[in-house]
Amino acid sequence: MTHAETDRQPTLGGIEKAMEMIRPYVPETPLLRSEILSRAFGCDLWLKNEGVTPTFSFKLRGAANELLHARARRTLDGIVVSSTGNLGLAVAWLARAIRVPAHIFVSDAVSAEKARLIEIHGGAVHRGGAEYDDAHMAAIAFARDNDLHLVDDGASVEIVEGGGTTALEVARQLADIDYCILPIGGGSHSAGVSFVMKALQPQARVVAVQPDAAPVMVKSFHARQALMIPPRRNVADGLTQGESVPFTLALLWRYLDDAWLVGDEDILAAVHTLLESAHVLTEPSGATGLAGAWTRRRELRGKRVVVILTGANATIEQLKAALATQPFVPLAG
Amino acid sequence: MAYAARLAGLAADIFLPAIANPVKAAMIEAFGARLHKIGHDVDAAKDASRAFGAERGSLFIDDGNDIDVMEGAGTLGLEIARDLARLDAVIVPVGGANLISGVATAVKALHKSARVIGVQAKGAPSLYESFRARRYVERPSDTLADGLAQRVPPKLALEVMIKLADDMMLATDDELLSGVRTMAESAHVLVELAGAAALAGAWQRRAEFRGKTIVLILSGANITMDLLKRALDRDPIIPLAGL
Repeated sequence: MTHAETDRQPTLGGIEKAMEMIRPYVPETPLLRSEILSRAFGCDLWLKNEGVTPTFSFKLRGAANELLHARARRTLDGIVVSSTGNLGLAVAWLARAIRVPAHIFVSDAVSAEKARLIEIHGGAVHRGGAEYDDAHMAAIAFARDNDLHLVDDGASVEIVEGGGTTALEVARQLADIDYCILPIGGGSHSAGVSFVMKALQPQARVVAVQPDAAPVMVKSFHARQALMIPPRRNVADGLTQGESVPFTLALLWRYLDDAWLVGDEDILAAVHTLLESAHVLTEPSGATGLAGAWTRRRELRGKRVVVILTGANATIEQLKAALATQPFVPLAG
Repeated sequence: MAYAARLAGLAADIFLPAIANPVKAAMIEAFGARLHKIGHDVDAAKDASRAFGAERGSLFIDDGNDIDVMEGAGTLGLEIARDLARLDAVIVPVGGANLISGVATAVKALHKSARVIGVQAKGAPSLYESFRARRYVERPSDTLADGLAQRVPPKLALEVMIKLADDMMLATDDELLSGVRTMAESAHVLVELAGAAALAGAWQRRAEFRGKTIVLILSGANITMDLLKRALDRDPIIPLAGL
């Protein structure tokens, strides 16, 4: 097994280089002000829509940066990754673009639709157990036994730097940001985004939001220690894991300003609100930052707020469940 | 128009038909324009806005008869034509034919052999019939796709469309609803019914497009949640299982 680089810290130069390397594969995503949501939230609200990358989530940024660096270092015979779905799709897509076989390990919690989508993009899907952490262990063993390249989200500075390009685009387009709010799963995106915002717009508070049914990173962030909290099933399948990630936690303790929890009902209402009032399709995980912004809207009053929508791989069932909730604001108001 | 007027620091009066899409009406008001709901369809609203403009001495924007609006829409075709080295066909939703006219002008200038095909709602086929007859034909409008509901073909857009478009097709409201579902399910993009017209048209002609590079223009996403729910309850236009 070969392993990603973990013996260095992210740098702004590394993130600028990442932007250059991934650009042929990942076009810049839109950052748009929402008039309706600005009124409803009482702040100057901007949406960074990562659901419009070729694999419909921000994950392609980290996957592309990691794999393009790995390919520059050595010949890749095959790529192995464990995923809640979106990273698997991103790795499968990029692996096909650079003509390397990809093995994607997913847990039973990953929807059949997401698994099928990975297969359509050329990845071999392996069911690795009941929970994400089981799939993660299975992927490590498979990579070791077959001497293949393991993409370890949460242990790769290149994935963090790739994810940081989201914030590089935001910080270059929009000045005087007060808050940047995004969902957190394993924390590599939050680490990259908070690192960039601290470097380029240090006045901005960066906040990561996790579902209260899978709160391990948020609780570890506040406790200042790496916890293990078995997750309960919840609507945000992309953010659900039980183990904290020491490599990203160390970065979050240094660069992240705050971390919040939100309930399923607010996450689904955020998906509904985005459909109705911003005309943007997001998956529940992708809308979790907006749910956090809604629950803390008093704190955000009058501020310039960027909410990162991290993905759009929603199933039709998830969209129907979202439309059955009350949106945060009636559009007519 | 409301958004652009605000950017330019100008007051805007926007005329919509009495039974307008409430999402679009809310967005227009949010952008600070004065909203007038008048007339039984978009063409009646257009007559009212023309009279209002003449009375006040305001600039009346006649979508479909305004070269600047058409060239603005054409920038979309320019982006497509510049982004792709190879382009066999562009499929465009058609209401008043302003978009397809602008897009065809740009695309055909840069990709001589690319075909430009328009898709109109079956319940509102005035431009389709006009294209077939190569002359002005008015038709009643009855479709859920408010973005495609046009009874009266505008003169300038009709001329350019007849000259540059390669073909015109029709899609039923059921196909448009199923197209909205497929865009959500398989492309993870929200579109309104008009925005799904290109997909519905392309799917009808999929045998012809096999192996080709085609671009579908998704013209808008201002859908009401009621119509979105109806779309999600339908079968997709493209079955996922077969992919």
